[in-house]
Amino acid sequence: MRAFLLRRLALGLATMLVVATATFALLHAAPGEPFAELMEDPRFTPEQRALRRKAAGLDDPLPVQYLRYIGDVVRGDLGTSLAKRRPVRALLAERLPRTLLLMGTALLLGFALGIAIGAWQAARAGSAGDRWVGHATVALGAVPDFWIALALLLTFGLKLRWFPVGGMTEPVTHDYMSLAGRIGDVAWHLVLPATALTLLILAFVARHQRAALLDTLPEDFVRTARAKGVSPANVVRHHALRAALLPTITLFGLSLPALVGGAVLIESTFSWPGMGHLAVESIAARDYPVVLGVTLVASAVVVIGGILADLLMLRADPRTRHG
Amino acid sequence: MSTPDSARVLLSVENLRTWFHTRDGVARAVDGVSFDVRAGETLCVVGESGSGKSVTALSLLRLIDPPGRIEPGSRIAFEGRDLMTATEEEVRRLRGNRIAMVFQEPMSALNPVFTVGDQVAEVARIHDGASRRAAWDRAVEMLSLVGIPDPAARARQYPHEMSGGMRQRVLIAMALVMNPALLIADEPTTALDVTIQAQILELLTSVQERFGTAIILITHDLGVVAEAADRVLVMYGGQVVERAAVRDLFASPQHPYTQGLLRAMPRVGQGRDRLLTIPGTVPPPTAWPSGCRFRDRCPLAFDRCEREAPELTNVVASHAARCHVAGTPLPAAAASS
Repeated sequence: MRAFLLRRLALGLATMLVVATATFALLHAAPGEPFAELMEDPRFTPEQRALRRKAAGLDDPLPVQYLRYIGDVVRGDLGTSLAKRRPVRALLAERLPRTLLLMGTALLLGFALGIAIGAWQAARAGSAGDRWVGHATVALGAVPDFWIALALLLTFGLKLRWFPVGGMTEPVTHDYMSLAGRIGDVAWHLVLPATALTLLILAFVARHQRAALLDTLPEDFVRTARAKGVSPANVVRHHALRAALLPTITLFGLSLPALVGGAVLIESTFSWPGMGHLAVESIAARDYPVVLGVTLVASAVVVIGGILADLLMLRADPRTRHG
Repeated sequence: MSTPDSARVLLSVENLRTWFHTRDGVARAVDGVSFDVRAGETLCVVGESGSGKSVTALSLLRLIDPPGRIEPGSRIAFEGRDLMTATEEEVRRLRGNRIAMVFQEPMSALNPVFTVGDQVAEVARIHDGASRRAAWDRAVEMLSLVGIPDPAARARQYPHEMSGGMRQRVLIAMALVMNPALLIADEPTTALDVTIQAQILELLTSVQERFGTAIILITHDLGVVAEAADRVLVMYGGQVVERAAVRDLFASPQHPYTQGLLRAMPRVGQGRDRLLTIPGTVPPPTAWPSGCRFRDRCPLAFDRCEREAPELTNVVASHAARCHVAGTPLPAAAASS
């Protein structure tokens, strides 16, 4: 168990090093550079710009920059944002919880509802209800992610005006609210982005869970459960679903990278001020330290999520506990 | 063997027909099976793969899923109750309670994600409304009863931590929790090696002696039949082809199929180089031949067998066979070899 955790952590750190290196290379290979907007600002002379570049270390040879960056990261220093002039760590500390709130809500709801819907379908496979829900989840999975986000935004944000169109809080009044009011305000803003992300997750979880349960229902142990008098509902819920959850746990670990990508999209659509939003901003500004910091944290989230999925698997499947 | 005594008949099956309505046609897997099981006896059901033994067993508990269907007109009466008209809920309350079943694959018949103790205890919780605690104690007691050493510790193990023989004992323990009147064991020893097979058979016999449980033992192994059976049903092509007390069956088999099975059985002291086999295989249940279903493989088949399906008729009292030539002196072809 301990050896397993250590091995997974070491593997995770190696993954993060590869991600950091690849991001570094891609950033410097991509056209554009930091401080580009200063070029057009008449108050800055080319000399001042050069000074900025030099101060940020951008004129050093790439290998030197790379080693300096990795060295800083190992020491826990993620650098300072070139555009925002704030430590990257402070920026991330502010943004990460917001992203985790959005992703966590959507993950929880998406998996819970997806599992329930998939199980409901599998228990009545081939029926009209199963077919219609199946069409719905396939359609949901087939439309582009941004389309769902925009459709929700247009319908419930702009047309019906039930929910705010973006942001995480009311811009002015939020600071004057009571604690409960502030929490309610954030929850209110969370509804549309969380729903969009939940729908995306739910669609593939439901399809996957239906298939997994249909694979489990013909198993001998399910027949044993029926033969010992377990009620039909409990045969599905207790005996078959419990075993059919194992591949879903694997799916959870495997789907995290895609979910982080989806979160970036949803955050920019709903201007949710989280990490994804920050990533888009900083890429546009060629804010190298922030982009690198965001990527590192995102990969850390994926690595930790993967380890969590493995731990969950150890709990759920006794056969994985030895060896 | 006691004489037929209707008061002691526990299970009575009449004209059981379980058909599978598949896209390729109707598979008549069980097609007109009738038999009785008396309290406390062991009835062995013998036949090769595809003869309808397992489907018969599942039909008794109404565990047939679509496209399979127990056809109207089939009658299953257990302890005087008609199981065909009983509601699903009534049948569910019998399963694992008055009628219990042990399946043939001990490797896959237990749920991999629950401890064996939980799986045995569940039966007591369903049918007895036992508390978690009481059910667990009962499970440990049952595991001990079926000869599992250190049952309290074993109960906390998962199926993958046990050997095949141990798992089969767990399945038997699970079946015995409610002290059923009838235990259906579908090839309970097939997947096990020989010494373990003998132990499991002994266990079933001792259970029967202690609790007076009637057992339907499904097998393709005539050695098991000789050891355990009181009476025997021989099945072929979804039908009963011979029904007899075990002694009569081995002494004077009436159906050519039974005779073939007995000849195919290896015996100590008979120095044969090769075992005799019955030529051919069971035809698919979607296409039984006309007339007698065994005629393609039968050494005695003659023109009447093609035209006319034989009925299951008594050759002597309580020994019945489904064959046109049964009861008549055996022609030379069968007498030799």
